[in-house]
This record gives sequence, structure tokens and C-alpha cells, in this order.
Amino acid sequence: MSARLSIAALVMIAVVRTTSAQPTTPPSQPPPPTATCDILEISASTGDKPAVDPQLDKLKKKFKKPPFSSWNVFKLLMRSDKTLAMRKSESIKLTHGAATVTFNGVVNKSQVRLNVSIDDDKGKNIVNNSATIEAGDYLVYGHSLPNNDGHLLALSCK
Amino acid sequence: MAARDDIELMQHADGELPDDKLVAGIEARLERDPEARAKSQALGQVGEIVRGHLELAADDVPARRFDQMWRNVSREIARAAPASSEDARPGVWAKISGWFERHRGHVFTGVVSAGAVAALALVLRPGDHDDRHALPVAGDAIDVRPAAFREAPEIESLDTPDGTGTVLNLEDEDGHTAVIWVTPADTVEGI
Repeated sequence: MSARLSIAALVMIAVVRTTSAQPTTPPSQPPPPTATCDILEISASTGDKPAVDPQLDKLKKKFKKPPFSSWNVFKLLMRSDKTLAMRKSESIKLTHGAATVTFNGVVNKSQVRLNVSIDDDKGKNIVNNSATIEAGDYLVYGHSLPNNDGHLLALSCK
Repeated sequence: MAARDDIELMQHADGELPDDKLVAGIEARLERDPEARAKSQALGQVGEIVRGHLELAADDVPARRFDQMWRNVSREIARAAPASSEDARPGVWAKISGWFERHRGHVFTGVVSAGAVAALALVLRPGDHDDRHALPVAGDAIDVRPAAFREAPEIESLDTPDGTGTVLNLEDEDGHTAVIWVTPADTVEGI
């Protein structure tokens, strides 16, 4: 039995060697994930008549809720579509200050891990945050300017 | 020579070398010849893997059925054989069938074993995976789930130098909106 077993083993080795000797395409490395983020810089102020920039339609409903409901005029100051590479910080020049956004990966196939840092007009860091949000959801940072207007930075990635 | 060497390697792997001198010779060869060493190791490993499977496969061969079949073949040959004294000598076919009669167990076990080994080898052989179905999540597009199935945002860390941060989650039919509101420390009254 053992001789037959050995013959069978040799046959198997030969088959394995033959098949592994055939040219095969190298296993393709998965491309590193990227996230496409829509970044919106928004000013919030109070006016006689409510007005929301048409490009902010997706956020319009949110502006009716606190803390945004303190203002009734929302204008888009800057919009940027960025494709973020994994763990590569992207600097974004804002009308009021600057922001740095880093995409830190995908969680559960549908969530995006982000690190966002915002500096004010004077270059002083006002917030540094790591968050995980669902693709398509918004992450909005806000603070009041000296003239009591609001300054918002909204991000949505997918 | 290579074939004989392989047979000796097989016998060594199975502990069937007839004398100690041959064993010593093979072991010396294994010491100095990496290819022989690799073959020997592969023989040992593969032998272990397939041993149980092959023995089971060989046991499954319906021996009684083959005995009956070979008896029929022999009877047919005998019936077809001419009566003359010259033709009474065993012909080529008779010799072949005789050999088969004596060795059919090995042949059929070998066939079964080879089939099992080929199947096993096809399963185990490297480099034949279909990568189209093996793309890891990292390379795929990010899923945008329906708003109703989305998880609430998770704030992992929040640093607001010289100020305070307030986190809110506004949820509606469009999904979640995480709001991080920063209030400077010197603000007497919030927004």
C-alpha cells in the first residue's frame, strides 16, 4: 500500500509542479481605498428674508434646526470636491482660515474615517477631530465669527 | 537514474529500503542534495495528507464486482481460444490478461488513487484563484447605504484648543448630520 501511496504522492507533486510552473498572472494588489469628499464652506448670517444658496439644498432642512436656526441666510463661500487618498492629508484654503482633511479608511464598507483640523483666519487651530460617518452623511463644523455671523464647514464623503 | 533515485527516495520515505547501507546512502544524499531533500519532505507531507483519503478510496472499490468482471473476461478468452496445440500456447492477450489478473488490484487502486490525488491537487494547486471574486473590501467603492440603515456618526476624538466643543447629531430622512460646534472659551454667552 505504501508504494502505491508514494506513487500517488509523486503524481500529485508532478501535477502541482506542472500547474504551478504554468505562467500565472500575479495576484493583483487591491488599490488603496480613496474617498471622494464634497467640502462646503458656508457663511451663516441674519437677514430680513431667509435665503439659502441653491447649492446648499441638501443641507437646507438642517439649517432650520439648532444651532443653525440662529441664522436665516446661508451662502456658499467655497466648494471643493476632493478625492482623498488613504492617510494623505489634504489642505484646503478657506475664505476664513484653512482646513486639513485626512481620510483614514473605510469601516464596515460604508463608513468613512476622517480627521479634520480647522484653523481660523489668524491661523489658530480651533478644532481637531477624528470621526467616522456613513458615506453620504454630513459632518458639519461651526463656530461664530466676531460679527456674530456663523462660519460652517460641511463635509460629505463617499 | 533519476527515476531510480526517486524510487529510492520513496522507499526511504516509506521506510522500505532493504538494507542499512542504502538508508545511509540516501541520508547522505539528502544531506548534500537540496532537491532530493525537498522531494523527500514533500513525499512525507503529501503522503500524510493523502494517506487516509486514499486508503478510504481504495476500500471503496467494489472488489467483488471486479472479480466477476475479470472472471468473465477470462472465460471469454478461453472460449475464443483455438483448439490447436500451437494456439494452445498463451497468446499476447492471454499474457496481458494474466498479468492484469495478477495485478488488477494494484491497477484499480492506482486509478482510484490517481483520481483522488488529481482532485486533491486541483484543489491545492496554487495560482489558479479567480481574483475577480477575491478583491478585498479596501479596493472596492464605498457603499452608500440607504439613509434608514445608516449608523450614527461616531466622534473618536475632539480637541478644541481654547474653546469648548458641542457635538450634536441631527437625524432625518436624509440620514445623519454630525454637528461639531466650537465655542471660544472667552465667549460669555453661547450661540
